[in-house]
Amino acid sequence: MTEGNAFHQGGDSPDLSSADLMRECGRRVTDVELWQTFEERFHRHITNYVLRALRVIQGRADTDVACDLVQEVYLRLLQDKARLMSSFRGETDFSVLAFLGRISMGVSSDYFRSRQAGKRMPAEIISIDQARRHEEESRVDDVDVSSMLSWIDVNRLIESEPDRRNATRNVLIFKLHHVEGLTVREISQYPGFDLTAPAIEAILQNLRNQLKKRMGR
Amino acid sequence: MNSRSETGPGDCLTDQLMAEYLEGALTPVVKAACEVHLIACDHCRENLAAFMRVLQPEITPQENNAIEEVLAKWDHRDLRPMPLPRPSSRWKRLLTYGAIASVLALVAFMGGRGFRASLDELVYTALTKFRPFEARLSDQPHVAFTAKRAPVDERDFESLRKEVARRSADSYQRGRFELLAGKYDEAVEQLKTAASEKKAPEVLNDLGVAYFNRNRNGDLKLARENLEAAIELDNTFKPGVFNLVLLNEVEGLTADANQKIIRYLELDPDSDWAQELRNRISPKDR
Repeated sequence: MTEGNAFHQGGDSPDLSSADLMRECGRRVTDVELWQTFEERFHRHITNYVLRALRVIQGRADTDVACDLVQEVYLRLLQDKARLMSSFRGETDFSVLAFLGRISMGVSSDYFRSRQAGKRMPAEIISIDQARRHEEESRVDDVDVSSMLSWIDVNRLIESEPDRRNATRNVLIFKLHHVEGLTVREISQYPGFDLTAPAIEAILQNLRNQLKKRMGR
Repeated sequence: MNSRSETGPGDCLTDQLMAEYLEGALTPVVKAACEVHLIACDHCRENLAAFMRVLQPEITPQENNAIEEVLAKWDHRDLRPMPLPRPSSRWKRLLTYGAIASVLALVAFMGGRGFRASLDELVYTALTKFRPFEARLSDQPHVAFTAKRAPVDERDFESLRKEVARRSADSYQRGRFELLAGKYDEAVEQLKTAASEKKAPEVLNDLGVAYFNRNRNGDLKLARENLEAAIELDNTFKPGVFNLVLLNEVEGLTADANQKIIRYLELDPDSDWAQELRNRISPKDR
């Protein structure tokens, strides 16, 4: 199992769960005390999620933009008489944080898209030599990508996985680590994988050995 | 965030399903199906990875610094709307088509931040975000008026009203709050009490606005009496002059309205309020 309740929310109002707080804030949008609790519990999370989403989407996070988007997150939560909040169905702390994370990502993506839509890419004039070089480099990349994809012959990898019961999970972890670039520690934070960091290391090592064997190394 | 997969087996994962997967809340069969899809569908796996990065429970020192910076800016801005690249249209749309509840919640939210804000500040904050009617209250920042507005849902104000009742506030502050809520009878009563306690241009102006908005039998006459009384006390009191322009127009007194516009422009030639009045003069009278 992972680091216990990494996603558990503090007990500033232990009588009201995070999920209930979310729904109640949606039902009583002008209740100051409820919203104060909401702020204490989630405002920092929302700010963090917006900053991270900006970093994931555009590689950097401007704090002024983040400040605007945090406000936008609240507006989205409150839109249509706070329907999103009042109809929230989750029960756990994680589900609440995941919900806020999704809204933050959605707001940040929309912001990024609207900015991209407003931009016109200027025409770039390059020399014929440059164009040839670029073409050759692209070919090299294509070869690398295709060789990597054939490398990770997913079905065979799953078949060769000795832990048959968790074969798909393990291959997914392999791809999350090697293709998407998530660290072992990042993966180990999620209860869905139900694994500690050393256990993930072991799985990755095992799958790497399988691959090497298949490639005859 | 999700669309149907071109590359993987089955439907793409919804955001909800991804969250449940990460939480470990799925049955073994559904979990395995998700994994099979995630292995094959690059789009969903990228989304999952982005989601995992955003939700990480651990915060690095650099992240912490950035969060503190944003929180400081958030406090500094005092929750006033800060424009995005295409901001005003968004705010206008939100406010015009019935997001007043959102504004009230933000006001309530601000009120809840340590309960520092007085009722006066709450009303002022609300007035920076939407203009409830065309007439001008004392100490009201300019916000463009949109005539086509969804009616305010009284329920939106109920919780805030309870909070208001708990705060120490005088009749004048309560009257302004009721005006904001569109409760003109209550506003008139509170502001009448306030005016009987203190004859000040601000109070008389807002009482005039309450009568003007209620507009029942004899209300326009009472509105005029109070607005003129405000100007008598202070002949440079701009909101009073502004409101007399509106009152004259409503009563069909065009020449008087134009005269008041000229007076207003003498007092305040450059503000957005002045521009609003300038636009009311017909081209032939300009």
